[in-house]
Amino acid sequence: MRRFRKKAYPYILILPAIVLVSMVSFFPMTQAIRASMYKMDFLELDEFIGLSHYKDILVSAEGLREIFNSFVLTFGTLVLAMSFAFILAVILNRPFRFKIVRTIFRSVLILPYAISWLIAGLLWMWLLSPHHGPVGYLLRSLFNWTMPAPLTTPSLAMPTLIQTTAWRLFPLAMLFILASLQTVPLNLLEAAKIDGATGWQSFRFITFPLIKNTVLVTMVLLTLFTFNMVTLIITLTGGGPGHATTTLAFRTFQESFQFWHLGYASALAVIIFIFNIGFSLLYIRILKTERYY
Amino acid sequence: MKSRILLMILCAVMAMVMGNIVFAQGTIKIKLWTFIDPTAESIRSQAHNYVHQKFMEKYPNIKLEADVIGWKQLDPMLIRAVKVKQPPEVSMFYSPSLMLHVNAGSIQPLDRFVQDWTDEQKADFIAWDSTVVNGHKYGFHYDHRVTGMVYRKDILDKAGFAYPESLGELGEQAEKLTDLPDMMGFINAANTVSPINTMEISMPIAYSEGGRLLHEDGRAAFNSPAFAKTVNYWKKMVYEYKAMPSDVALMDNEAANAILYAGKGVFHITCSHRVGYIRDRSGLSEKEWQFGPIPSFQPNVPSPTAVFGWVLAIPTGSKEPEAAWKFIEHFTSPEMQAYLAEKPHYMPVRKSAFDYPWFETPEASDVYNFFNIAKEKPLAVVLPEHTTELWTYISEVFERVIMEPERIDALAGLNEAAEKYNKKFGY
Repeated sequence: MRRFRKKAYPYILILPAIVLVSMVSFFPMTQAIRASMYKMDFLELDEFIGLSHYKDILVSAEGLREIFNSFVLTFGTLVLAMSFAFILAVILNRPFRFKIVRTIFRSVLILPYAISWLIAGLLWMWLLSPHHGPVGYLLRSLFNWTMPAPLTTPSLAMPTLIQTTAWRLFPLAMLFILASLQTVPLNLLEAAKIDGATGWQSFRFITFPLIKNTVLVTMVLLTLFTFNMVTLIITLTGGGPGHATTTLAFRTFQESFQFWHLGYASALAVIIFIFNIGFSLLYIRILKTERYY
Repeated sequence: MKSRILLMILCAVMAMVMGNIVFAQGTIKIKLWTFIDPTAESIRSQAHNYVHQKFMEKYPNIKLEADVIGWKQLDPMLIRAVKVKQPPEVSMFYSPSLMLHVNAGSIQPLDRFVQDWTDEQKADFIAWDSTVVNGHKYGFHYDHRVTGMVYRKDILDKAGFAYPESLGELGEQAEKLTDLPDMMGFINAANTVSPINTMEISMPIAYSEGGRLLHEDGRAAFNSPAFAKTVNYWKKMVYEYKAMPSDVALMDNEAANAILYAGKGVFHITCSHRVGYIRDRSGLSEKEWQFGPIPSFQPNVPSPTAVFGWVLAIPTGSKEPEAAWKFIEHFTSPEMQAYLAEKPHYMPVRKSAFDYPWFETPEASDVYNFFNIAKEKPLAVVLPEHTTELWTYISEVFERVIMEPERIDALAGLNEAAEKYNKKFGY
C-alpha cells in the first residue's frame, strides 16, 4: 500500500493540471470533432452527415483557395519576419560604443509587438490609404504620383497582409534569436577567427548550429501564430478583395460567428488543428536530429 | 484592548455586508446589453445615460446595469448567453437580425405585455409590424433610421445643380463635381467587408426596379435584372462617370466615410442616424450637409425607403421580465423618444412624440425630414434569418464586377451567387 501510494503520488499531484487541460482543450476538441460531422441548428446538433463538411471544404475551389492563402500568408510571413529578425538580432548582438544606444534601439524595435493586432491593423490601414494616408500624401506631394490602393487591389492585398503580419511578429523572433546569440561562447568565435575563418564561415559552422534549436522553436511559434491569425485580416482586408486574403482561420470565424454554420466551422477548425499538429510534429522531428552542443 | 478594537472593526464590516445584502434583496437588478457606452462623452452616449438615469429615478427599486458589447458581437453573444441560461434581462439587437433571434429562440414574445393594448396604442408606433413575426410581437424599436442620401448642398448650389431627380442625373452631377479639386462626386463602398452596409445602400434601388431578395419558398430571387442594374450602376459610377475610384468602392465602409469626414465627397447614400455624425466629424453644418431620398432610375420617382433600427427585446430565460418590460416601456415612451430626437436626433418610433414642444423648433427640421421620407414610400421587406450571409453573396458580386468590369457580367455573377446560396441552404 505504501509502495502504491509512493508510485501514485506524482500522478495525483499532476491530476489537477490534467483535469484543467482536459476541460479547456480535450473536451472542446472532441466536441468540435463531433460537431463537424453534424448539420447544426444554431448551437444544437441536428442531422448527422459524416464527413460531408470535410468534402465540401477539401474538394471545393473555395476551400482549396483558403488553404493556399493560409500557406502563402504563413510562409511569406515566416520568411520576411525571420530574415528581418535575424539581421537585426545580429546587429544588436554586436558591441555598441554607447550601451544606451543599444538599449534605445532594442526598446524601439520591440514596439510593434507591444501593439495589439487590432491597433496594428488600423495603423497600417490608415498609413496605406492612398486618399488620406500620409504615405499617399507624401508620394503625391513629392512625385505627383497616386499610389495604388494595396488593400483593395487583389494582387497587392496578400503581400500587404504578409508585410503587416511580419512587422508585428518580427520583434518576438528578434528577441529569441538575440537571446540565443548571446549564449554562443565567445572563445569559439575567437578561435575560429584565429584559424582564419571568415565572418560567414563563423556564422555557418559555429553560430548557427548553436542557435538552431532556438531558431526552430521561433519558426514553429511564428507559424502557429500566423496560421491561426484572424484579427489582422478582419481589420485590414475583411478577407477581400475578392477573397484574396481569406484564410482558413478567417473563414472559420466568418462561418461560426457571422453565419452560424457551426458544423461547417467546426470542420474548418479541425482541419486547422491537423495542420497545426503537422507543423509541430515537423519541428519535433527536426529537433531530434544530431545536436552539436 | 487591541483585540476589542479588532472585534469592533469586524462587527462593523459584517454589519455593512449584511446591510448591503438586505438592501439588495429589496432591489431588482436588471442587466442591459447595449453597444452604446452610457459613460462615454458622445452626445448619443450621454442621451442614453440620461434615459437610464430617468428610468432608475422612476423605479427606485430597479437598478439598471449596462454591459457594453460591440455591436457586431451582440447577436452571437446573445444567442450563446441564452443557450447557457445566462442571458441579460434586456438586450438590443439590430432589426435585420430579428428572424435570426426568433429562429434561434433567443428572444421571447412580448404578447402578454401588450395583449390589452388598443389598436390606437399600437398605431402610435410608426413601424409596429416590423417586429411582429407569425402574429407575435418580439421587440420594440427604440430608434428608426431611414435610408436616404446626404449631399453637399453648398457644392450643388455653387455648381447650379438641383437635387438629382434620378440616378442618371446623380451620375452626371457626380461626374462633373469630381472635376472639382480634391473631390469625389460619389462615395459608397459596396463589398463583402460590410455586407449589411451594402444592403442598406443598394436594396432600395434594386427594389425600386421591382427586384426582390428571396422567393416565398426561401430560394434566392436576387439574380434578377433589377439587382443586375443596381450592381451595374456602381460599376458605372466607377468606370463611366468616374465619380468614385474603384478602391473606394472596395474599401471598408468606415475607411470610405473618412473621405466624407475630410470634406472630399458630395453624394453619399446612408441611413439618417449618420447625418449628425457626418456633420460633426466634417465640421460642417446642416447648411452644407443635407439629407434627401435616394433617387431611382425613373425621373421624379424616389426609391422606396428602408426603415431599420435598433430593437429592445427580452431574452428567453430573462430572470426579471417584468422589470425588463418597464425599461422597454420607458425607453419607448413619448417623453424619452422626444428627448432622443432632440439630443442625438434619433427619429422617434412613436407619432405622439412629435407632440412635444421641441418639434415646433427649427432644429427639428431634420427629424421631420427623416419622418416624411420614410412615410412617403416605405419599403416593407422581412429580412431572412441569414441576412448577413445572403448579403455577403450579393456583395461579392459588387466586388467582382468592380474588380473585373470587362470580365464579370453582373447578371451572370448574381446567377452564380444565387446558385451558391440555394445550394448552401438546401434549395
